[in-house]
Amino acid sequence: MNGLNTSEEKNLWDIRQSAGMVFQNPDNQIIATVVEEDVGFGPENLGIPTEEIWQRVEKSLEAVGMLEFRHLSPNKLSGGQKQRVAIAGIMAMKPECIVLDEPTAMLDPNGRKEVIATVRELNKTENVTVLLITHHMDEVIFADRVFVMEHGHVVMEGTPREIFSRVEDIKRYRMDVPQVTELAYELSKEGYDIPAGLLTVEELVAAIDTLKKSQK
Amino acid sequence: MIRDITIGQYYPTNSILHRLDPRVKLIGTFMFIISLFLFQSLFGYIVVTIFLVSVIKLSKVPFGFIVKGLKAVIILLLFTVFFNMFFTPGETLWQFGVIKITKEGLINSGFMAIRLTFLIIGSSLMTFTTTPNQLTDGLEKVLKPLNHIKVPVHEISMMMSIALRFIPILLEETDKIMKAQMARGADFESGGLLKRAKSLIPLLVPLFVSAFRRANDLAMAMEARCYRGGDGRTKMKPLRYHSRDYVAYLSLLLYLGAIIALNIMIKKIV
Repeated sequence: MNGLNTSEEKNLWDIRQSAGMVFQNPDNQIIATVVEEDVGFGPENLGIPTEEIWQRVEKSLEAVGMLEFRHLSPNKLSGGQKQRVAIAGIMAMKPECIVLDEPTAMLDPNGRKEVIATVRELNKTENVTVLLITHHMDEVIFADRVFVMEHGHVVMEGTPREIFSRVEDIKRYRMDVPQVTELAYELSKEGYDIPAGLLTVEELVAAIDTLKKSQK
Repeated sequence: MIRDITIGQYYPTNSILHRLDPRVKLIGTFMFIISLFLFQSLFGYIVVTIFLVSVIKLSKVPFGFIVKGLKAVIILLLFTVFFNMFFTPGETLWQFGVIKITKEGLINSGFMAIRLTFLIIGSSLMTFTTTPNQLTDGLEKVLKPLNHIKVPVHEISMMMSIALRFIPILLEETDKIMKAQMARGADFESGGLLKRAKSLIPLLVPLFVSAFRRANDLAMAMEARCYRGGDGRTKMKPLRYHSRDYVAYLSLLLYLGAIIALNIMIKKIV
């Protein structure tokens, strides 16, 4: 991490400044009773002057699309919204990297979509590195790089397309592939000429289209 | 049932009292409580009433709402009145067996009831007009001098604000666990006091376990956001005195001065 060894205790605080963490349970990581105060908690700890805290809070709440909820109590928000507040709280500390530890594990499908969309948006517009830990393969397909871990070791590495072309390997690690990839894989196993590692519905539709045309 | 208690609640109206610095309100409430125990005469009582009524008017909190808060402590109030009435020695007015009501007791209990009522109204006015967050912030600032004698003021106020944040979450959780246990056949409603207390065990144990887990998670989340205690922290909403706060301090001093002056004057006359 930034040339600092994560296992050394004295590097801890520097690392925490440059790498923000978002955890699984949205309730257990919101500290304040008002949304904007919670977002300000990180910058307060860093000793940032008051005016700048306000700017940062506003900016990061806007970045996650929660600016209109700034005066509300976190208890009134949905899970996805709470998780977005937590992300804003990390963004306000201006980290170079956000680590999200299964941020969608406790959310409903809508909340999951919200959070993933927010994270992708931040990655594009704010240029932060996003490290997403997840069990949901649908969330993986947007990544630039995927690491498959088992028992604390990296067992597979590559782009999502590379990873999901190796369906058998993935199954061996008792993991799923996205539904579309699974369907494409089964089709090609049945003898249809469909390329491996398809990630989206559109890609599969295109592949089947070209297949039909070539059969005519 | 918990929702019926209005003490400690925040009542949002946009009054000047709401905009006052929480430190002023804390110190003001403290001074008001002292003044309650200073006055001994009817005149003092009038001054205090005028002060309280004008503060209520300023706060724009409806009177009915304030009175509702008194309901929760009515038993305590009656208890005090009762003891004062029967156990103050003095000139006997009415006697039945060992029970007797004295003139002094009657006067005492009357004053005590008024004092307690005023005390409760005064302190609940503070919570009506101050958000819990402002209150903990104010408390931290007011108690800051205690830091010198090694009282962890910042930590205490942080604990208070976290507690406030988690009360609704834990209430919800209690409800969930209760329903889960009821679905497994637990009975929380029948039986004697002992049986009922025992039936709370399957509720309390999971609640505590989950509270500890939450505390652990929260501590990790706070550390991940570089929380290192109060040193070197800045404030997003620092407390700053405005001119209205100085005016409030001045009127508080005047009020306390008036009470003390009245006391001295009456003593001289008597």
